[in-house]
Amino acid sequence: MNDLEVIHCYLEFQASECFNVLYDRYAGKIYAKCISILKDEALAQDATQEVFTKIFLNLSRFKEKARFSTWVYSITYNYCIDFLRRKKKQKDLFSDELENAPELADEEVSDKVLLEIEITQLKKVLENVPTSDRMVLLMKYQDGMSIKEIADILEKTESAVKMKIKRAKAKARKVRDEIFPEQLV
Amino acid sequence: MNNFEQLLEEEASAFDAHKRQQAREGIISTLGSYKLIGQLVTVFVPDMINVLIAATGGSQTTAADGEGKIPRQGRPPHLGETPPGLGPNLPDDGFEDIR
Repeated sequence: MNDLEVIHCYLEFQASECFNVLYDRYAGKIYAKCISILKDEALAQDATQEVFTKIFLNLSRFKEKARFSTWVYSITYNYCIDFLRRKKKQKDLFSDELENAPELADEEVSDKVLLEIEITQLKKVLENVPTSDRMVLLMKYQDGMSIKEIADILEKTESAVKMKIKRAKAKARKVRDEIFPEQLV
Repeated sequence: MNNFEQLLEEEASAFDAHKRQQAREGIISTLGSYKLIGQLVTVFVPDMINVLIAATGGSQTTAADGEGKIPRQGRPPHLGETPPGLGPNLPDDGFEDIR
């Protein structure tokens, strides 16, 4: 059964099997995203639980305009963003691109550069870029979200998101070159 | 599947069975609590509203009464179970003339 069929089944019959199908499909991925953003296993587990509760309480509101996975991940990112804002008492987690002038050359990094990074190296690179950059890279390359979808989640304009992605790619390449200099040979 | 997606699959598998089950139980418990609260509200709130209305002297309505309220004072006596505060009209025993 695809996601939509499972959702309709759950909404109609409240069947626990449907709950289990959705849970088994997405729990691990939500946990992975939460731990990537929050960097703490206990927090990630609590976040997974909270996110899933939100998903099931609001399942009837899913309008099927976007993929279900996009909707699930948008709830996940919003939860993590809210958590980090409360924790850091920082109103705009994504304001750093305005405050920290980029020291990087204003050169467009191609997607190919990032997509060719080996998985263990990619994990290390993502751990060492700022949280906001990591998030936009995950949204774009891991979740396949459109610029508009990312802009809606971050409550930014599409042009701001494009600039954010451009700078995030540049930072990721810089971090990769620093951590794995042998790649430059 | 690109490297980012492969990374997600790998990290998702790190969500071990014990943590997965703990989180599952927590979610089911929370959803169950919400469901119980919803059921309590559905069952008791209409009755509570009727009690408040009755206490303030208004007319009670039931969900079955689709045609509006029945005034309290014109109501025929209950022939069945007597509700509190209302008693049946006693039949004329004929002794009034003698008293």
